Amino acid sequence: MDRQLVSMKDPVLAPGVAYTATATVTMFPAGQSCEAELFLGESDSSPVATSGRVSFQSNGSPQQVQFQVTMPSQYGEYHVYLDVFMGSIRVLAFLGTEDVIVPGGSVDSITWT
Amino acid sequence: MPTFQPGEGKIAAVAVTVVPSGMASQIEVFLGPDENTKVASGIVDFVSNGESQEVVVGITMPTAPGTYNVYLDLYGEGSVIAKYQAESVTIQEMVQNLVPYVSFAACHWLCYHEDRCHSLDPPIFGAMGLQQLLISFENYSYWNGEWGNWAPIKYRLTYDGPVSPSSYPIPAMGFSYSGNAAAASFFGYSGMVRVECFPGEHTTKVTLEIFHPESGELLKTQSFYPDIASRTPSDRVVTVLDDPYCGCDEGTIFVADDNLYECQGGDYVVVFTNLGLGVCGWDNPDELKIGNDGRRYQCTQMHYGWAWYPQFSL
Repeated sequence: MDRQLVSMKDPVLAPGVAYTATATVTMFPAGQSCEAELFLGESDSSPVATSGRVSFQSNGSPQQVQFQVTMPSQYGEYHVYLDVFMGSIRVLAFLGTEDVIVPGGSVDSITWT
Repeated sequence: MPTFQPGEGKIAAVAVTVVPSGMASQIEVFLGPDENTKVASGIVDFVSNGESQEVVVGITMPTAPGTYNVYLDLYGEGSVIAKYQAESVTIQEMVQNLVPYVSFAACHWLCYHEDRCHSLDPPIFGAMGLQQLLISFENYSYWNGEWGNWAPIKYRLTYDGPVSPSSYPIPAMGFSYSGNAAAASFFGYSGMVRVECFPGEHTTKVTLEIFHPESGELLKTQSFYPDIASRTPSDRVVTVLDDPYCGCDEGTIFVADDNLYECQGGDYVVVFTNLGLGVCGWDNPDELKIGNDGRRYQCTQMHYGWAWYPQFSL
């Protein structure tokens, strides 16, 4: 299954901080048990941070699903993936249009004058 | 451990690395007992360049003495990306930083021995040929962290010449210890030393030394060689060097129709003159009217040497 691009904002997120991502998902047919997972990584086979699977009930129209993900503590630029499952079948796979940037920094010294 | 003065402005040069480059970043340096209690803080915006860069943060130290933790918070795009705690700093007790500026402005003999000065009538103090030396000087000092406060000082007066043991310097200085109160600052600008000599004595050299009130360090010394031969009775016409002061507190000085300065509501007038601090009307209210011709005041009953006794002595 090819991944589809999905628009995304606010790509700079603090390391080690939990953020909530809200995705608008439309699933057919209505009334089905669904799950979705949002994760970060260099590839969709190597997630470094994930929301875990979030359950929701499809309603056949756009609905918002929220994912809480704790950002990696290391500096990096991470792809954002979103997989949607119906039952045990992955029916949708998305890739964020922008990478999440987790900035890094260090203080080497402080000198008083 | 770095030690600073209370309220001192300091610069913290921080070597910091933030990635990625081009990101709006901030660093905050703050002091406090813990990271949730900021008692002093400085924050600076910068743009990261992806490698080590120096960021300069200005911070004013707390005024309360003590030891403070130093924290550094690093922000990228408004989010904290790193937190550090640096070596603590100590804020010292306030140092009473005394730097007196003492200038010796004038030295005058106001009256001479009877055998040299009998033309002065009446003698200013007493009838025994009393000799009075007025040394005017300013005591403008750096005290308690700011210029302009009057610092307490100690002084010592010595003089050379055949002065008999019965002669002695009489300190008569107007120092104030109370800061910038109106009356205190008026009189604090000048100090006077009065030397009394009895008939037959004279002094050729007078030395005034100013000492630090606490450490005793000699701060300034100056000698005077009074030119007693140049004095004439015309010296009784004095030049006002500063605004007259009309006491008591309710008194105000104004120019009357006859161009006389009068002191209304007050009991006396005090002037700082070329001859030192003088007073009119202290004992006799009739002395209050002072002729005025611009900057020159005339007071036939001006009394010099009228001042407060000092709070410090050696």
